[in-house]
Amino acid sequence: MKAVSCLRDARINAYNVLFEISIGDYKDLVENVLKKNVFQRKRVRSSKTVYSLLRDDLQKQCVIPPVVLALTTDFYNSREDDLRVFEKALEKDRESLVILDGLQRTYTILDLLQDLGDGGEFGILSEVMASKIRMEIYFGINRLGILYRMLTLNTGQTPMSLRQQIEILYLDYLDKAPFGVQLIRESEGRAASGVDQYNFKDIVEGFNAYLDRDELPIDKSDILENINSLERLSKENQSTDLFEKYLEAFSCFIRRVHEEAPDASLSHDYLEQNFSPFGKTLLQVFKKPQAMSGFGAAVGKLIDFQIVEGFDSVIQDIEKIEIDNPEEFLEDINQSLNWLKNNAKKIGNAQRSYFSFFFRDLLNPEGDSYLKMPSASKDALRKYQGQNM
Amino acid sequence: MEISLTSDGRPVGYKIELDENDSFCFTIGEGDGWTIPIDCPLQLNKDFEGKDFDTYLLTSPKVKENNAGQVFCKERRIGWIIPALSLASNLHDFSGNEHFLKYAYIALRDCIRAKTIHDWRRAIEVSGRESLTVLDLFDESKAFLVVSRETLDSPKDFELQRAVASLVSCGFMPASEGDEDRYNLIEPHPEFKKYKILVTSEDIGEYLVIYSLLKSYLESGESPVLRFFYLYQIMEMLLEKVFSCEQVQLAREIVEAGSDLVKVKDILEKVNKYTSEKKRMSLLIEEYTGIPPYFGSLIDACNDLLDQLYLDSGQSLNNCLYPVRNFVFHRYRALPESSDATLEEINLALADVLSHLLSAFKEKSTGRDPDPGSG
Repeated sequence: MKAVSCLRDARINAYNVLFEISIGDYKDLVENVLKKNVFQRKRVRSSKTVYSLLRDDLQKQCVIPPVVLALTTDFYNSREDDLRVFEKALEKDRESLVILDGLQRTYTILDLLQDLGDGGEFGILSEVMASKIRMEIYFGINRLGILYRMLTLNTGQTPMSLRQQIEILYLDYLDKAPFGVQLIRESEGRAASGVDQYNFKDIVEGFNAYLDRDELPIDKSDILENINSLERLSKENQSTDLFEKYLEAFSCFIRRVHEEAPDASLSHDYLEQNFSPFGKTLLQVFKKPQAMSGFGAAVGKLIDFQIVEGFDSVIQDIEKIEIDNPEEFLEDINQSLNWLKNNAKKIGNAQRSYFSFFFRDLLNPEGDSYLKMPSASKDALRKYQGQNM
Repeated sequence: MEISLTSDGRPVGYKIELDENDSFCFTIGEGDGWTIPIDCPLQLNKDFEGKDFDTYLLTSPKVKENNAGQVFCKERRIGWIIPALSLASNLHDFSGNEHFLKYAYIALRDCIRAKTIHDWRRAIEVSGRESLTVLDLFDESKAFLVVSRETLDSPKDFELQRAVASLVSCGFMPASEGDEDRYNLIEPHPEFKKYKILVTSEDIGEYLVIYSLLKSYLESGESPVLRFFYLYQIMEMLLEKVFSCEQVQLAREIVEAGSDLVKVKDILEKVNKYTSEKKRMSLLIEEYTGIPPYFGSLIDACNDLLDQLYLDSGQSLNNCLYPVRNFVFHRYRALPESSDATLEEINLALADVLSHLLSAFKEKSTGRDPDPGSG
């Protein structure tokens, strides 16, 4: 493996280094990346013709377009002409690689090597393993930059949804615990029942809603729309990681609600009349993906309209929230959500829209329901009904 | 019904299988084929596998996710109506209901296997898709009527073609190609999460005629007068049935009267009376459906319109529906536009009443008692 060229990508403030690598070394480099990364996109089948042609061409030692990867660890290099620095960084942090472009080609290569080995075609196998491919690796790229590159590089090919890409980017937060928050993967089979525990998938959905300014769970594969979202956001995301900020703000809200109403729950009388409420406690209400998406979309829109400056000002506002009568508020919000369940065409979408209205009213200093949760709840339902009924 | 899959625009063969998670999936191609699971957020219950069901595909443009409900016919639960939206979500009231989950399994199984009984096709492009949802296969206006054959004493207890009038009054219609935007149906409104479905009496027959008229009624868009016209054709059909039954009876009486001219004269006077549509309407309600009048909403709506037209109102169907019919058929030119809304209320009430009349109808000559399960 040899670094042969380095170019600075000023658009995303990262180094793009071109390597030549044998297919055998490439296999060793990426196999673990694919295995350990449970969020790496699954392989999909497109026309058999295209990838079977590639298999044939690889055996004939064709030159394929460079695959593109990124190293997600921090990187600093004052001497960009010293290519050995990049080679050493790659060796050291090879576990932190992410494939930006060429995932299906990578699967095709690995399948081919497997099949040749299984078929006992060792002569062809060693020729293929020795033949060279090029790979571009981005060093010093931040997460948003990776996302931007993934989108632009994937144009025209089988699209990856924005949510899938966000999941890939932020999966290492599963091991970290920023702000004392624990993110739990679905496959762990645990409930995120603690105040500071969240389902990773739900948080990603909420952050996606912030990026899109849209609370609805549409898996957008529209490249231009996603790029436009990122264009706007790159202006925001200079030195801070927006995902962390979103997480901090939402967990701050949950903690505030818990402080104000640690014991509030629906009464027996209420539960006798309403068998399946949305949430029996305020935490159960707000720790759902619908609320997280509504929060993300609402904050995004408030920022776009320049009503709030950013997550930091939202956090300051959240800390001022008080709930005078938590039980009454809890019943009221459940009644609103119950109305939505019985009257909306798609319940989940209606709930998301409701929460988006709720948080917009709650966090809008210019509104009548600013920091008043009962009032924000009533207004949210009225606005939903006004728009949809 | 047919579901076809394409990859890059070209048709591909497929099988339906269960994957390692016990979820339905399409397996495409032979040998190392690729599988595309069908995501369903419900914990479906397979207990009914091996039992006999009929699954029908229905259309309901205004159906909502929470509109699933048990289906009752003649006081007996025979199945469920399950919107496609309900199969694609676990947020509705039924997601934890054991019975619903058993029927939902059958609905999903039968609709994926294209075993629903109707003429309907869908082609789905699967290239690049990691999974599909029910709403990729069926649009949001679709619903499944799943009927358990074990609940029926005989197949005649429930036949879809005989249930169309009642389904329409519940907000559903058997699905057909491209029907998503064609039908002006009401929003489903199960009472206490139950749909009571009535089947048209075997003494009526004419199921295709009724279906065709209802289809035209639903396809008449926003025109209340056209919708009234098609619905009233069904009423006309019932009145014609009454007339032909009475004619048979009267012919018998004439023969029995023999040379008794007084009796024959009385009988001929009856014939004259029964040619009156108003009289036939009375007979229909009083003698052929054998159920007490319950047409409150229809009578109220008719009287509203009659008041707007400065005509006398009435308290029975022949005294209020018949004058409305006359006005619409003979003096439509004088119907003000402001009365359209009231005429549409009449249409909705009439559709409901007709489903009851069609179900309860019994020819007097059969000697059978009226159907106790109707109404």
